Amino acid sequence: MLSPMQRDVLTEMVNVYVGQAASFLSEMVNQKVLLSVPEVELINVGEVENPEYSLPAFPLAGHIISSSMRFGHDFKGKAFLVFPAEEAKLLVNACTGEDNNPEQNQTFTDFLDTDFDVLKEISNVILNAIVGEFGNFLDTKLEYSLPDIELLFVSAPEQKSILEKDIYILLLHTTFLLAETKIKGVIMIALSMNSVSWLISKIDELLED
Amino acid sequence: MHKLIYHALEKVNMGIIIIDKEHKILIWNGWLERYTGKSKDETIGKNLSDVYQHFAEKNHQNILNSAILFGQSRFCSSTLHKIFVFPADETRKNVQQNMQVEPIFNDNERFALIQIMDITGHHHRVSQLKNAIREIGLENEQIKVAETMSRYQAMHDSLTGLPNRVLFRDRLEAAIISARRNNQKLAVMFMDLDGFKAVNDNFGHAVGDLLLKEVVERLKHNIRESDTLARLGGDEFMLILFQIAGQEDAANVARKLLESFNQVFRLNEHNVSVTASVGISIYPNNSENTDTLTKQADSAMYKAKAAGKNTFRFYDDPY
Repeated sequence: MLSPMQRDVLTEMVNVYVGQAASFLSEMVNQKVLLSVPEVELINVGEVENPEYSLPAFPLAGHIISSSMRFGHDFKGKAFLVFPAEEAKLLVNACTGEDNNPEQNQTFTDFLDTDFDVLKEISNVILNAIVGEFGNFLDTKLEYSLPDIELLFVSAPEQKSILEKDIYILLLHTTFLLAETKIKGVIMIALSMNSVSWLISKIDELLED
Repeated sequence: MHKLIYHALEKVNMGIIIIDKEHKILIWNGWLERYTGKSKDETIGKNLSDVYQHFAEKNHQNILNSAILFGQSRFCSSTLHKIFVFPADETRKNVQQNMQVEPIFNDNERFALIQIMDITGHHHRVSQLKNAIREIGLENEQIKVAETMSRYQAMHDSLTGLPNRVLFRDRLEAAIISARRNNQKLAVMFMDLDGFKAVNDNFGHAVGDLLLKEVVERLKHNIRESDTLARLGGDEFMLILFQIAGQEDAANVARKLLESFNQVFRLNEHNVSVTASVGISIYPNNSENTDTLTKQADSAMYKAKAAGKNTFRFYDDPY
């Protein structure tokens, strides 16, 4: 989907964007937050259904917490921040200063409404920052919904069905580092064909310069 | 219609503020009047940061401007922010509010809609729930510990800590299954002390108990760690000797065990002498059944007693 050059540019852009999100988060939770996206992929449904495509690259089966928000107009799509449930709980605890007990396995059953609220805000800040910067990059106005938080159980075959036909997914493997805790999540940005072409052509313009 | 919407806005159970791009307050609903004690006259037309100074802080300004200028919606959780507008009732403690900021576009003008929800009661319930979950977790741990203890007590003799009759039977059954699979022999020994009643009568039960503990120590020294020694009650002990070659192996162990009684026991400044009588049955020579082997060892022990005590007999022995 992406040439190595395009991928490099996109990876660099996204890392600058999440850097900004990290500084917002740091201010909010009063501690140093580092965010990095070492890996960026662009996939579509056809690829995921291809048996040769390795599913581990599209991770997160089991209990997951998904926060999603829609955005529009011309650059249109839906952005997701997805964590395995136990990682999400670690993130909430790190933000609220609650102790993470390494011996006690955190599970989705430990989630309370207020934890979901914290995740809602964190994902809101991160997704706004990334989507907003894409909007700036494309020089287009965007409107954003508030995130919806869901606790889902996803079995491996169902992973594919999250993706609709003709939708492209920008997959950002994201690592959070705060309070000496490392938390892994995935940012997925589902884009229409038009929006993807727009983004790629704009990246190509950069490469030509 | 406008009037109806106005009345509805006054009634909704949350704070509703609409500000323009200069952050001037255009709408301040009834809930906010009741909650903050600030009337429409005191707020409408004023800058939001003049009404509440913390809205002048950088992060709040960012949130408001992002909505008005860039169309970004923003949710602020009470867990991270605590409070946005102060209640008139100053006695209320630990107030918690969620805030939502969303852009509104109207006739080419940009506004921000601010919704504020008091979720203090909800927080109380959540923290009560957290405590309840923690307590249930602790109780569960205690129950598990108690269960482990009572399971241990149900299987062990409280004086010596040795397996009791119940556990012995389990172990013998498992030993027989393993011996059958590996085509091995094993010996079952029944041991009864000679003259234990006299010790109790002469020196008291405390000394009797000490004697039993001391006997167990000596017996343990003369068997392998893998063998099972159990106390059935009183002065009766049973032993399983695994993987023996034949009767001679069992006889050697029995001799060693009896010799361990040669030295007097020094208990609470009393010198106590006892001996023991031992009966032995062999799997599979005598039987392949747990209970039968136990009974056979028991009856062999009576032969040893009849032969003058301080000796051992096999089940096969004629007398």
